[in-house]
Amino acid sequence: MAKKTYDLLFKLLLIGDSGVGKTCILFRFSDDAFTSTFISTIGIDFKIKTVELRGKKIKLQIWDTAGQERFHTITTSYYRGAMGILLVYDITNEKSFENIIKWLRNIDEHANEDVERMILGNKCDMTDKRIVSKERGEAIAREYGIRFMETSAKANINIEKAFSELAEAILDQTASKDSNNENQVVVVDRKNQEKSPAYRSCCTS
Amino acid sequence: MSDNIKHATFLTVEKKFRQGEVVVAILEAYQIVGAEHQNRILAVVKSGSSSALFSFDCYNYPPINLSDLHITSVLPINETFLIDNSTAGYGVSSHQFQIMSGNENLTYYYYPDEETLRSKEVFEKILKRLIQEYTEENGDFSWLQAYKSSDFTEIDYNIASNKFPPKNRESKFREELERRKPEYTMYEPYKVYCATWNVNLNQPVEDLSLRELLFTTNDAPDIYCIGLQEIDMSAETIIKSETRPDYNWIAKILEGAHPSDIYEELVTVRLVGMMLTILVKKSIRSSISKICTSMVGTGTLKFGNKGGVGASFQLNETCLCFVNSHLAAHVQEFERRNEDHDEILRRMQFNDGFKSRNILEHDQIFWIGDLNYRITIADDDQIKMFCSYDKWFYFDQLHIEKQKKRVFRDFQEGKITFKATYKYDPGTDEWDSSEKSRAPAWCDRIFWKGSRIEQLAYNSIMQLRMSDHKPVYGVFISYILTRDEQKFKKIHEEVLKTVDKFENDNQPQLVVAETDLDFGIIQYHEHYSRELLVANNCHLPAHFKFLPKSSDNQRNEREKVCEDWIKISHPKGELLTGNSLSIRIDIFIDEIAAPEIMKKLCDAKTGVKGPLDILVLHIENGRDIFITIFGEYQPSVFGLRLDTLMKLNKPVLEYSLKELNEIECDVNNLIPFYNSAKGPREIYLMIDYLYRNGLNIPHLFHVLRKHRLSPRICAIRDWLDTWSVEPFPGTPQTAAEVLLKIFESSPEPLVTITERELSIYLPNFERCRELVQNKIPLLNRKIFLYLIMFLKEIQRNYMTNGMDDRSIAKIFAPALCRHKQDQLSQRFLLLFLSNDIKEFAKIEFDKN
Ligand SMILES: Nc1nc2c(ncn2[C@@H]2O[C@H](COP(=O)(O)OP(=O)(O)O)[C@@H](O)[C@H]2O)c(=O)[nH]1
Ligand SMILES: [Mg+2]
Repeated sequence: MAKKTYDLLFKLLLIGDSGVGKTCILFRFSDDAFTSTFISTIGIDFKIKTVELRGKKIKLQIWDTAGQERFHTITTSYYRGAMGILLVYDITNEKSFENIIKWLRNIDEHANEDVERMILGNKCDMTDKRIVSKERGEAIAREYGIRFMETSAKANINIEKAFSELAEAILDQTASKDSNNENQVVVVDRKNQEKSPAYRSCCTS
Repeated sequence: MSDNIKHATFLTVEKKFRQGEVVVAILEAYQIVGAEHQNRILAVVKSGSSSALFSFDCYNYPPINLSDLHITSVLPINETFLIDNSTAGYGVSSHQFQIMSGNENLTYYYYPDEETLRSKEVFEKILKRLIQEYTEENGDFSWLQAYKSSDFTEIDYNIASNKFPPKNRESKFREELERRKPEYTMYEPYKVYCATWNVNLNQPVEDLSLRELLFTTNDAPDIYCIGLQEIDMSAETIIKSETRPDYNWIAKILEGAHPSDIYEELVTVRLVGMMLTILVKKSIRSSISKICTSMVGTGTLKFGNKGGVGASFQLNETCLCFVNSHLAAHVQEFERRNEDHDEILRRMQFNDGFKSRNILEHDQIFWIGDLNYRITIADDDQIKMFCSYDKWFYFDQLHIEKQKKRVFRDFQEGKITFKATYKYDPGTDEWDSSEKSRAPAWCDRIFWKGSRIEQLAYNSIMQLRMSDHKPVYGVFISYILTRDEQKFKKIHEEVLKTVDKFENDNQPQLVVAETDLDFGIIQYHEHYSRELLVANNCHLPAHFKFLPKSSDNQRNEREKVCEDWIKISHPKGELLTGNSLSIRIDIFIDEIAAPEIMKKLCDAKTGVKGPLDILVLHIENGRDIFITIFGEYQPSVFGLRLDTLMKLNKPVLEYSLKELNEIECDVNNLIPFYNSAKGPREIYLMIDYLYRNGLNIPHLFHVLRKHRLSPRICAIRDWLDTWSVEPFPGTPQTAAEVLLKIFESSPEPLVTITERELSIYLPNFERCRELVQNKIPLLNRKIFLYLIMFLKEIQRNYMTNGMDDRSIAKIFAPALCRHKQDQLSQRFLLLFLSNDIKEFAKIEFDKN
């Protein structure tokens, strides 16, 4: 068999209200660039990036989702198969922070049970416009037992770190699964992305 | 491959094809492209009565995504199609087979495991059957066009013309690493020490030391390559083609190696009298990989009394090959020697279990041995007296043949400064004094091929006297390509970045002109359509399809791409670079859709203006785009419950959706209705109009309803929905059609009696009447009886309108009962049409 350019493939998902900076975070991570023009994501996009963790090459396939309200039902069908989810809010936008609870509930309902989660308070470069304090972010993360970080796609703060910590958490998980279950191959669940996902109808909720 | 993997692979392959194209069998194989093994999955696919063989490059194994598979070839199974095993040769090539069709001729290899061999048999059987089944009439291969135009030719063209890098991430990775090799590699000198000796059947006796042969340099060599000939030529070893190494000799060789370093035997290969042993310094052992050996017996019987043995391995990044050969004997047999040489070149294959390579496919080659070429001059004594190669090379057969490029083409040899190495009286330095008195010759030689090799010494050892040959040795500095691990790591990381970027940049992209399609006001029974403009501005062909979504409720409903009342002109398709396509989205709310959309809007919290549906436009190997369908549905009397209609006290258009919803949900009839009326206004109006204008119209109700769709239906809709005071805007026929449509478009059937219940009570009229009384709610019951009274009137005018009870039942049974089968409901209606129901109706009409 041809040699692979990676040892493991992790599927990650970015969710959160529209405009909080999901697309920018992904763009910063994959292309190390930032643009301030806002083009709302109308659908599902993905990028890949290979990182090395503990001597293993891990190919991250990161899915960026549309945050708009009307797409909520439809985007949840992409949760299945995600091994890690980044929940993003905007520290200058109270509503986006409050909605984190809603997004968490969505994850509970639709994502794999053992999905690794992480909350990101984005746009932390905008200190003068800050509305959500870091403490509130930490508090909610503590309450749900989730990792938390403040990031800035614009100033490139904590972006790499967020992804590699999440990937590391997944790696820990797969590693412990492996040791429980000898010789079990890490199942890279990529089926959902090509197989027609089981979307749920979107207009009735 | 395990059954599971095979099954998964099969499913992925299946996804590559369209509906009606059936994957009959798959087989895993590989192709050798340049210096690379490439996985292939072969699939036999049938469409209609023609079939074809598809070859896929398999980027990820097992393939899960469509992107893991790319078509490399498409071969129609027609009269030119052939699968051929006869080219199979030795080693790896014994698993070779060829597939031909038209001008294509492709070579594949099986994986030689049991599983594959079994599937191979099945696979071949299926192919043979399909070949037999082929005839010109059923040879419609137009379906293959779809695969040739994009996926296949496009990609192949790119790769072939080298204009674009191939799409495969893995091969892009290898290509990049190769391209940047100079940045992380350098050449490091290694000392290679070769020695060859025809020992003339002598055993390595105890007091023999090879030090004199192997220890001639100050510095310790890194690699020793020692070739012996005639270690044993007994009939038994020849017949057995003995290949077991002679450990006595190996021990002697190890003893004789340079004393200032530690050596280990890397590999030994023996065939009868020939043995090749490679020693390496212990310290470089870990830099060596892919060690393999090969042997070729030549001559008529190919037992191996003549021929060659070889060893191949990789030292750091350089592939090395060592060959020890003993070619045909006798002065006049130089042509046989040439043949032996050619045969060794041709047949010697080194297979490291992954890849097979021949002698010339190495970076550096050292070829040593008793090559047996002689000096051909009449006067032997002359050579014996002045035994300098300088003087006689012109008569050396080997020199002559090499000049003519018949042997050792492109090989090099150092300058010979030593005496002829053959033939001596054993134990002496005297020329052969036997009766045959052989002429001296430089039989024992050392050649090399490859760049960055320098010879330091080339000599014979006179002091080793036990054989009739003198041994010859050659010392080389060989520059070996070596990886700087630190630099490599850095560049490897950079290459991964490049490859990631490459993969991100190679996502097919489509742009849509707008993601929101607003249909404005949508009314019952009107056609609406919008264009969705899709363009491919990227450099790759893009395949798209609208993905199905499973319904919100988990009631096992089939997955749909969109609501039933939305039609997409191109549910899937492909767009080549620079092309665009206008996808038409149609909406038409008919009597089945009307209650559905009502229900959907009532359930939705978003209100009338919310999205009617969201379509998922999926680009293969790329993103999904959400297309939102907006529209404001205007409720009409069509699509409402029949009892709701009886509760409306103003035109339906004057109700808000919320109000209508409340009425629709009023199952307990808490909202007042016209209790004096026999049916809703709309039904009354139609029946009243028909009483007056339609009783004598031939075929007022017609079985062929589809042809009776009339634009007037819309006018009647407006007339009904607004409570217009204008005269009825239709004809008796349209009134009849509207009457049926009102029944058909209500969310529930008028007659709420099941097929099963009918089957129990038919044909007893009394019992059926009881059924109507007990099973149909009062409002519906009134409407039902009112309708039956009217239909009886139609039937009474049979002579003029031609509608007998049977045709009436046939038309109304499905509209009223909506059973899967209409026989029972027809009989049920017939029963009511043929019995007197006046009394029954009178009582029911008076009820509240
Ligand atoms: N100042 C600042 N602006 C940001 C940051 N991340 C995103 N934005 C801006 O926020 C807007 C929305 O970003 P986008 O990534 O499209 O949001 P999405 O809808 O969550 O994908 C854009 O105008 C960005 O330029 C950030 O870290 N700092
Ligand atoms: Mg976005």
